Amino acid sequence: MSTQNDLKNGLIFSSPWLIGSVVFLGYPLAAALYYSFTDYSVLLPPVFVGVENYIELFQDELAYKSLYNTVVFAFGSVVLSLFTSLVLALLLNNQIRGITLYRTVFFLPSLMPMVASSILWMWMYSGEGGIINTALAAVGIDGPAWLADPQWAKSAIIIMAAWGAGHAMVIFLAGLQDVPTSLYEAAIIDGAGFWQRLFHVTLPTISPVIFFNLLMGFIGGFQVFTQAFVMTGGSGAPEQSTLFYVLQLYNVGFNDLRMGYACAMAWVLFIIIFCLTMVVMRLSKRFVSYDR
Amino acid sequence: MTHVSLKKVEKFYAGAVKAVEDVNIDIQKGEFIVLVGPSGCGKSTTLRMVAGLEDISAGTIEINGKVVNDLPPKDRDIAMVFQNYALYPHMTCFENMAFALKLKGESKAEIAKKVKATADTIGILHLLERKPGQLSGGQRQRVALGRAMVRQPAVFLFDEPLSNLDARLRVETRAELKRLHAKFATTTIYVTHDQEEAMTLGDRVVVMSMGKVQQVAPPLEIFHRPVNRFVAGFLGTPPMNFVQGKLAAGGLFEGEGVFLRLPEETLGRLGEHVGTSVVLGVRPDHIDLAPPVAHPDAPTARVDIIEPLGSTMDLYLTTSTGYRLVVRAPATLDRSAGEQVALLFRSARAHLFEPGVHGANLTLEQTAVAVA
Amino acid sequence: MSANPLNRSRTLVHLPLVLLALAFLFPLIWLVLTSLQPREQVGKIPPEWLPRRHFIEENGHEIFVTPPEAVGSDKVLVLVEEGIDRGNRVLIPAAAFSDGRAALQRQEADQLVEERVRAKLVQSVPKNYVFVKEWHLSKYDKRPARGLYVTPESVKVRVEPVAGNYGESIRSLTAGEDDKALGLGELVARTSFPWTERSSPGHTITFITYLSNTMLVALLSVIGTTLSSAWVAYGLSRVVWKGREALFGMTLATMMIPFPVLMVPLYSVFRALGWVGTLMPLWVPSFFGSAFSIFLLRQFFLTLPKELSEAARIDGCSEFQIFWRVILPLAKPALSVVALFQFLFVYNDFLGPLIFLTEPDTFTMALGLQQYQSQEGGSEWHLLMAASCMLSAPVIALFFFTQRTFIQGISTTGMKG
Repeated sequence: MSTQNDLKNGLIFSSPWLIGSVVFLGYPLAAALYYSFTDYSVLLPPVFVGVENYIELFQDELAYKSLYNTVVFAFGSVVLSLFTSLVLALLLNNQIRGITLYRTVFFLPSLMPMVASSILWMWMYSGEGGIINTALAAVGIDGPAWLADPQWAKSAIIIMAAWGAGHAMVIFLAGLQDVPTSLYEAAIIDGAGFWQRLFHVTLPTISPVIFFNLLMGFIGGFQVFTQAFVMTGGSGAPEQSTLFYVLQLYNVGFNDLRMGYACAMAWVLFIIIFCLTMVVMRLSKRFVSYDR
Repeated sequence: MTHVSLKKVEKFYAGAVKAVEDVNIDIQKGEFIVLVGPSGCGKSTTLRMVAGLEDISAGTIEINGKVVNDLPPKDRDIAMVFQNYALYPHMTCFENMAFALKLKGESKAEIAKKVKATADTIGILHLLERKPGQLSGGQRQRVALGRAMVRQPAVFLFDEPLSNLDARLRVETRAELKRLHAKFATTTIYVTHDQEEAMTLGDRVVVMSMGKVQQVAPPLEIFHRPVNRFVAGFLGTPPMNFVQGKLAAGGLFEGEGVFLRLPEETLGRLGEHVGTSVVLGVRPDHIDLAPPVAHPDAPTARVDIIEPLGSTMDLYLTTSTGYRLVVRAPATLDRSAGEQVALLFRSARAHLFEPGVHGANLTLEQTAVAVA
Repeated sequence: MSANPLNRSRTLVHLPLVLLALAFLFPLIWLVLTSLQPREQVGKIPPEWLPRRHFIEENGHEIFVTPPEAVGSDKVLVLVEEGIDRGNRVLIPAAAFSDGRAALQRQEADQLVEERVRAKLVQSVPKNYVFVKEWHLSKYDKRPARGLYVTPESVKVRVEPVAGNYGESIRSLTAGEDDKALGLGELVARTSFPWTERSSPGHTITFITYLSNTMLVALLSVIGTTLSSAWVAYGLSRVVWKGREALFGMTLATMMIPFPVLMVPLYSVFRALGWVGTLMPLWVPSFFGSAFSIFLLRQFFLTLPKELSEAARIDGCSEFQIFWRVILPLAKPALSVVALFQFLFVYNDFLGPLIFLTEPDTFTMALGLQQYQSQEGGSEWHLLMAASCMLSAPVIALFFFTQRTFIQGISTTGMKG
């Protein structure tokens, strides 16, 4: 009945997770590393081939292409979504009437299953009769072919991602509502105008939330898959402009059954995301004020 | 008959100082014991060791003559009231009180009977169907008390049960607790940092500091015959004045512009300390003030501030060396700020302590042994 | 108070908000409107907003028809009574029919052959007449459709949603022949015992199957995650033991591991277990806790005063009883957040089902819809929109019922700093 160091109960309560994290996280992570050094098709046992997969990967133009696409998407969607969600949250954080209604409207799209919203946006972006280009034509803009145009396909998916910015908006809004009113009142007494309050009070105070959303946005952005898979049937068309890294990984692993090679890709992705997280954390230490 | 006994009880954590050290207390059946001391003195830890919420690092605790060191709380025949009451928010007051009985497997009818009877005694019958969230602080306190009482334990444990109440309610509840104890005479261990609660409630008071028991005695004895400087300073408002100084031959104390001759009966005890540094302790109500002209031989001080308190007043004084003293005087005393006054110490009430926070009381006859 | 400069801009703020709200609502509105449009209206250039339907009246009944096509010149509709077109109704120029004989032209090899055959006049079609066909929901609608030649005035148009699109999309998601849906019992059996034999090949896979697969996985994994994560979070917050902080740190770190990194080895593990092609890979792991849920619940458990546990311990509770009878009932708000998030995750998940579900009869709704979409390849948009609406409706409905829990839950996830 020890209450200071109750190892027995600690282990009893942790055991599902101890088992689960080893079986469903630890082992697969390690196995992926091992497979990445093998030739493995799932159907046959893996054959050790050393660093061959990695050598091939570093010369694989498709892999580079997919990485490039993914980086463009991740940065584009993080910038656009973060900006959108922050603006929405700032607008909503004015003790205005109807905030619940607005919040619901902005939040709903982020709830939609990705498959459904992908099909919806395909329809909206579609050909000549697409509603988006019709709307653009109404204001005198000759819209691009969007998903059919290699120049525009990624932008189309980035715009769609910004439509789902409601989730980040809710987090921002919570952060904004946590900023003490007295801080604004002090700033007003000190003579700060709207922009000065925004840049010297609001943004610094919610900087932890900004970095949280930034990190989540990057981690999510690097794993983009469903949109491209649904919209292109997995091909990454047109001209592989929407062939994202995970999509390529999936194709290599589950279409070509080159699981070893896919695992090499997976580990490279893991390292990229790991490094990115570290960089963002570093930056956050420098720029974020946690002392509140 | 000894009912609860703590023998050489200690609590230590790896790599840290001892939180509780060598605590020995024998508690009689029906006795109301108050553990008092500043925060971090080990009083709560001691109580929690009795409750079974903390491991006992060394020593033994006996309840009803049985060593309970390795017994879980539920088998120790105790009940506890917490500072924040710790009522289960999702249960009604009835369910809160019934919970322990239910776990013990008592019959529904039996439980209902007991809960109702207890609720009746402390006047919360009308609250039984409500949840704690719907109650005021005072009502919650009562329910928490009821939850402890309904189990009819051998020992009640209270951990600062009144400190979340406002001042008036605290005084009322204090009186109520005393009444209940008088009625049921259940052995009680009560932890508080409030000296007033300690003085008014305790049959005996245990003053603790830095993990050690400083003195165990009835309240008035603690007040009048503190075994050391810590105990003397902890009890009493405003706190006792302490003056650093030297003891000269003939029982003359001198320091910080203050001097007085100690009564003759103490001289024998003080003999060996002549010529050493000592600390004089005098309570604010044991200094009389007079116009300096009437007492040319007495030490003087200047009145800085006067705080009228109604029937009494506190005067803040500065001695010739700039040392500060507090004096409590009748409100009728006609003094004003800036005046010089003569200090007339009631030397029979003065104490001399060895230097240091826990310096022993030198003026005390050696029957009570300072533990420090 | 109105002098407060913080208030001044408040009314002004509504203008951008309304515009942005319209922009965010626009796709949703278009989704619903398209889903209610008749087949032929979808894809029109320029697009039309409101669903409009053509109909004619026949013997006092309204018959929905396709949009009218102009005939152009005076023609006659004749019933051919001999030759290879015998029994067919043919529309020919009025001049080509005389004396009960119709001149029919036919392409034969590379030359045009004309022959005169016996025919009976059915209807003369003046040049201002239009052609309409009895209306069908989609290409899956196999009933025979009549063609009619009518005056343009008799074809009327009105705004009317085609609710039938929803039923049609449900029917067209059916991949099999007969309309026999699987019973839930059968489904659970297949979910839990992959080694039992599959029911006969070619049995029906319907929307209902997808729906029950999805709900089954969602239900099981919500129960699994909520219970197991609460159990583990209890150990990580309310039991004091060596290694607790280390395990918690590790738990946080695992949140950084992307699923795509693990999917190949997971696939081979589940394949070795014989679980690939069953629903098990989608819900069994949830019974071992999820890092995110554990984190969320741990934070909540830490806010409950430790005296509650102590009071319970003195009242005679075992560690399990403290968890079950004191902490869990108090954690309802946090538990519902976890349950909600898990439901949403499972319901919207696509990559997991895509990898682990190989048999159409185990598909979830998201996967089923994607498969249907990829077969359709960009036609039948009205049915796809109807299906997308139906896929989205449950989560949106759930949001409206649990809005507060939702918003609070999301808000707290961002607050960990």
